[in-house]
Amino acid sequence: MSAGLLAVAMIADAVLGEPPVVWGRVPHPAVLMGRAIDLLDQRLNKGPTRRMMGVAAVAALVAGAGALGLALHLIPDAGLIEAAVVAVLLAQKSLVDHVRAVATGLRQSLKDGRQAVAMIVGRDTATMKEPDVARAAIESAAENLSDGVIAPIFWYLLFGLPGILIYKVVNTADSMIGHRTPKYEAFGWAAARLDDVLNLVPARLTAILIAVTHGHLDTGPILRDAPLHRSPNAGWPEAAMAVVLNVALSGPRSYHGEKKDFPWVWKEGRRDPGPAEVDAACRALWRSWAGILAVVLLLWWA
Amino acid sequence: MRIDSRAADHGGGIDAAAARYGGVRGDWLDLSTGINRVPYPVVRLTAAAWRDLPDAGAIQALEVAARLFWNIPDKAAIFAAPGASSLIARIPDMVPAGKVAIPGPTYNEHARAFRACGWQVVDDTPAARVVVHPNNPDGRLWTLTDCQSDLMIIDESFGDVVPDQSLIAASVRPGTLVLKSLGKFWGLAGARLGFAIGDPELIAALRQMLGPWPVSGPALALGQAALSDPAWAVRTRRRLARDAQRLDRMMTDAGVRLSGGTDLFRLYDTANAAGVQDDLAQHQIWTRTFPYSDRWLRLGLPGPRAEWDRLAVALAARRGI
Repeated sequence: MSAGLLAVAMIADAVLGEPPVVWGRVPHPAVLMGRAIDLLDQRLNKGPTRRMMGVAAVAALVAGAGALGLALHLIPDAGLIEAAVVAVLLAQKSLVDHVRAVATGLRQSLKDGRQAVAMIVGRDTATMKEPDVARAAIESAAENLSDGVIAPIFWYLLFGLPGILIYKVVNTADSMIGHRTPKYEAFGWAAARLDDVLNLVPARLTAILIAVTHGHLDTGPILRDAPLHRSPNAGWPEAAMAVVLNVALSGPRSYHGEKKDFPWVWKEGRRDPGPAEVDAACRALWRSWAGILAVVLLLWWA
Repeated sequence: MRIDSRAADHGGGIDAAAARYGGVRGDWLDLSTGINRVPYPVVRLTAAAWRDLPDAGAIQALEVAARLFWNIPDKAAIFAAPGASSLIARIPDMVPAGKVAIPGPTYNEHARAFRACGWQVVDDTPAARVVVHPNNPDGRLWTLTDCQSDLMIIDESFGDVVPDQSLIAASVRPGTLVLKSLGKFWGLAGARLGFAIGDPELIAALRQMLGPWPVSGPALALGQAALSDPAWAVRTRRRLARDAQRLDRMMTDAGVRLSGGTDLFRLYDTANAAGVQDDLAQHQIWTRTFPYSDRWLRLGLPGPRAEWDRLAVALAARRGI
């Protein structure tokens, strides 16, 4: 791994995002990962030992991603492929674009806002009011800053191309098979647990990054509220985002028609966020991105 | 700062904007009106259209085309005038002054004309009422039950983007006039051509007031061609609907909220309408703010591609990209 190469990849991702021109022609790595996970799901998600099968599936994915990363790393091309792969696996620009689309949608109509937010969250959007839509977008911004940007950077810095590929394949597997449903409770167990472990440090780093880049050096409120969140990791970036934007996040909501009474994160924040707060979340994403880029450049220089 | 009272009360006013922000008239992109910027193509005019006094046949041909285009009931009379605004100015003079209700905010020439003729503009009265349908600037639509006053003026100047919403059926009611315009949807504001449709007695009075040959020969020819071309109207409605959505996307992306409008103009809500107007004016793009609201900003739709590009550049500069 090289911090200089990472900086180049970060900037390429920030400028280019995910050009549809390219992904119309070749399958996106996330799509390839999804196909591999799908295949394992079909072959292995059966029988009495589903949990063991899930462990085996994750082991196969990790081994495959690690080997692929190592192989790509060893190609003598002055790091061109490596930089391209890292740029593709980072999702800063596309994250900001998707979150911004929610603010833009909300300014047109509630219906447009719901449509835009349905692209980034898995919740029922049909009954959402404007503050629900804005909140969902801000939460998604915080969580995906950790999953889609900071964690991949973290694992790349530690273990190079194998590190970032393994992280991405586990994170993708978690999103596909990590649900607590009858079908996936056992088979998805390994993916969900490993994803929790891999995000343990990055999620907390993301919270620190958001807080520090916004001059919030008093971490008290974040430490207080992050554990209130239903997810052991996502609570951290969300709590930090809630505090710096002064918006109450999480809270009561409905999943698949079922009301869930989650506690508020940063309950002191405003309960009626709108498009302006979603825009503020986008600015916070860029600020955090600039912060991590500065760290990467420092590492390169040091 | 008010540029001058006249410019602040209407769209347009490019000369005043140019005087304030620089540039000459031709440099400016005028989005301060609801005039279609891709107008009906001007037809070839014969020498006779300019030379001769418009004869009864030419006027009748135009009125027949109008009747067909707008599905005007046979019982309603029709009268072609030099622009809907000439009708608006004279209507209050047809009947003795009294009280008139003009639900607003709306196009302010109606109230001005009624007041100038000694009328009192009130919130509600069964005696006389004016509705702008769809309303300018918020796009509000009215229904036949809203149109039952003794003197009832229904201004459908912007109505041709929503033909299925037309209240032309009310034109058979005594005391009712529906106004139509070739200026907005057909983009022919310069031709000055509008219609009053409705109560034959009121129409006769208007005809009397405006004298013989109120409409020029070229305007008659142009109007007849435009109203005999339903295919152009269908195409244009489709394009305007698409372009209105495009403008909404650009404007909401730049931080203002959609508040209403029609497919000819869009109304946006923002904390600082004057600030957005000022920013766009720095790029020689003129928009409409309202003396009664510091939050409302109205934009007409850009027409040719280059105009869209100009607006995109101005909005990007505003966002600091």
